[in-house]
Amino acid sequence: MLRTTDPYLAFANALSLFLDAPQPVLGVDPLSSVARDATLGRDVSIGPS
Amino acid sequence: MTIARGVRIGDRTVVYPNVTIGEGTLIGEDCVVHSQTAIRERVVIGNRVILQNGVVIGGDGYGFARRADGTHQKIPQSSAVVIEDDVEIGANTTVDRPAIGETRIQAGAKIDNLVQVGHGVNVGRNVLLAAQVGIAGSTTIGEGACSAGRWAWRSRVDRQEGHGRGPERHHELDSRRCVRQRLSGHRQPRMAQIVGDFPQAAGVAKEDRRARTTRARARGHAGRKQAKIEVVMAVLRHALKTRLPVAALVAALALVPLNAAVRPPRMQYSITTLPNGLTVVLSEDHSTPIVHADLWYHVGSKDERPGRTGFAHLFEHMMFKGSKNVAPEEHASMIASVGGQSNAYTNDDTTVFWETVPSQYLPLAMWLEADRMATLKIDEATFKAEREVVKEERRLRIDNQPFGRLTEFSTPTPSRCTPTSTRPSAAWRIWTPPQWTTCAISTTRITFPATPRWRWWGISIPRRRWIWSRNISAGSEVRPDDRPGLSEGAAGHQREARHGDGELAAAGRGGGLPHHLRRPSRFVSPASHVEDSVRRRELAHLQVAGVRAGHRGLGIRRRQHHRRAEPVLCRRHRPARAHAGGSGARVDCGVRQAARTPVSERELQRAKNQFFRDYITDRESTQGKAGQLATPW
Repeated sequence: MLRTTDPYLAFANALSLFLDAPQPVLGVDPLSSVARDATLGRDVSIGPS
Repeated sequence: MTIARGVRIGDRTVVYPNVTIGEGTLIGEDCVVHSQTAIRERVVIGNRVILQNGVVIGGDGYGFARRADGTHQKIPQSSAVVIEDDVEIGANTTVDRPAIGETRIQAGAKIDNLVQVGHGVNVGRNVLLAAQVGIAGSTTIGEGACSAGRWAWRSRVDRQEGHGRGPERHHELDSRRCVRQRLSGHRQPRMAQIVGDFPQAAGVAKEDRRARTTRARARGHAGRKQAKIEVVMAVLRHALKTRLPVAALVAALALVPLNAAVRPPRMQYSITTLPNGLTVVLSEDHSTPIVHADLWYHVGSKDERPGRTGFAHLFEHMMFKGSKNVAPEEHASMIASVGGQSNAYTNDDTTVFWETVPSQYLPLAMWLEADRMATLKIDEATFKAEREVVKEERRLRIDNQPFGRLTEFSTPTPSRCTPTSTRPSAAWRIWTPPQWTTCAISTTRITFPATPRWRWWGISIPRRRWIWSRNISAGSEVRPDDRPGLSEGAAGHQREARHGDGELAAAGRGGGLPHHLRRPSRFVSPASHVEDSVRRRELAHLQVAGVRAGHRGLGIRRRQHHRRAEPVLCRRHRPARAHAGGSGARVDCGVRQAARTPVSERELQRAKNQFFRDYITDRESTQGKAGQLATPW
């Protein structure tokens, strides 16, 4: 039982707890084209072109 | 996936296939960029930003300079675009790059699909923009604003239209002027749905604006005249505000003779007849950001069946008792919750419903009107209860008022009309065909379709193929049994009534059967009546006669039937100024004498001035304007 003064917001929070979003493959896809001097952060995911 | 030189992408950001990121663009941490998105060069995107499929950020702004030969020179658009933290942008939304300055979407703003954000726009923090919103270049949207779908934001257009306001005021639409849905409780989603469902027309086309300027130039001379009148009005308004004595008012009028050479300012309006026969009179008024809508059903107490009166008034009440989509009494509270006012009134000729709302809520007002016009719901219990309310109001206003019944005589009862039905809701629909309805809208900054179609408000109101006949002849009889307590006679256009005897004797005389009672009223140009000097003279005569009658201890009541010609005069004995042994005959004698004495030119001119002044001051409010536009002349 979840009691709240703002059900719509609580609903949004609850949904994000159960969300099973597809996880993108980490790293840079070999079929992508990334400039040599572009800077990529840690754990980025760059899809193919 | 193409990432150009100098791009920096923060930790944990996900870039899906087929995204193009231009040179030097910075993207923060934890962002998600869905496929097919194009981010151009030197765009700055904060943290936790989500870009749905097909977003285009940093495309060239729409800026061209007109060359002498009519072609256009591109103005290079190479300035910055900044998307702050926690922004989400919907699919196929475009955010343009300006020539100078920056386009900025501030933190927490959420933008739906297919929104156009023009170059140089600044979208405030936590703003919500629903689908298909269009924002013209350089518009600023204040923090927390919430726009329903398909609204057009155009700050610069207003500035160029030249309403005499500086750019700094109009440039910024702060949150108060936005479409906000800050409404209480359960109503919020419902209101959002109503407002969101109805499309606003896109901005006024450039041609329109140019045409308007041309017209304004052509009006040059008339414009100067109008300016003069405005000066007079300013003096009058000031006098009213500072509560100068009435003498000062009269002096002001005497100094500036408002004779026939000066015309009241012309109202600009357009008349459209919808396919279902409903007449829409639209007047653009940019003086204030409010809109007034008057909905006139051209039926009233004059259309009632003898012995079955109060029908029009009863239906006026029922219109607030709910329809298919609106709960009982919700109409007024919906209007009130957006800061508007609404009410209705019934008279012998019309049943009028009106709303004054902030201009962006025009769709709401129109939808509410269309809804109850088409889907009025009448349940028996409410109907019966409301019938008692109407009866009580009649007792209060007419039956129990001294001489209250006397004025009634001027309204003849038609010999045969008023359709009936066993079902009140069916009777209502027969009673008010759209062909007999005028909607007058005095609107303002809102962009409004030039030819509004009633159906746009989401509800279809079909044309009535059969319209009942209003068989009202000039000589229609007043039956004594319908109006107990009054002895009356009707001789052609002169109608007389007597009431009581002795000290409380009263007599009334009608100066003619108003012509509108002889045929169904309809819309004629409101300008016509001022042009008609004969009518003006008649009115002036009446005014003078009224003043004189007052001096003789007679009450006089002028009924103009909405300022139309052929006014009905009701004269009555005023008991406070006791005529010893006053009788109907004495009253009549006094009235005749007052009316017979010739009116001097000065008196006439003064009465005319007063008439003109009233006419002009009546137009000062948007409500007054709409009322005049809807009035069938």
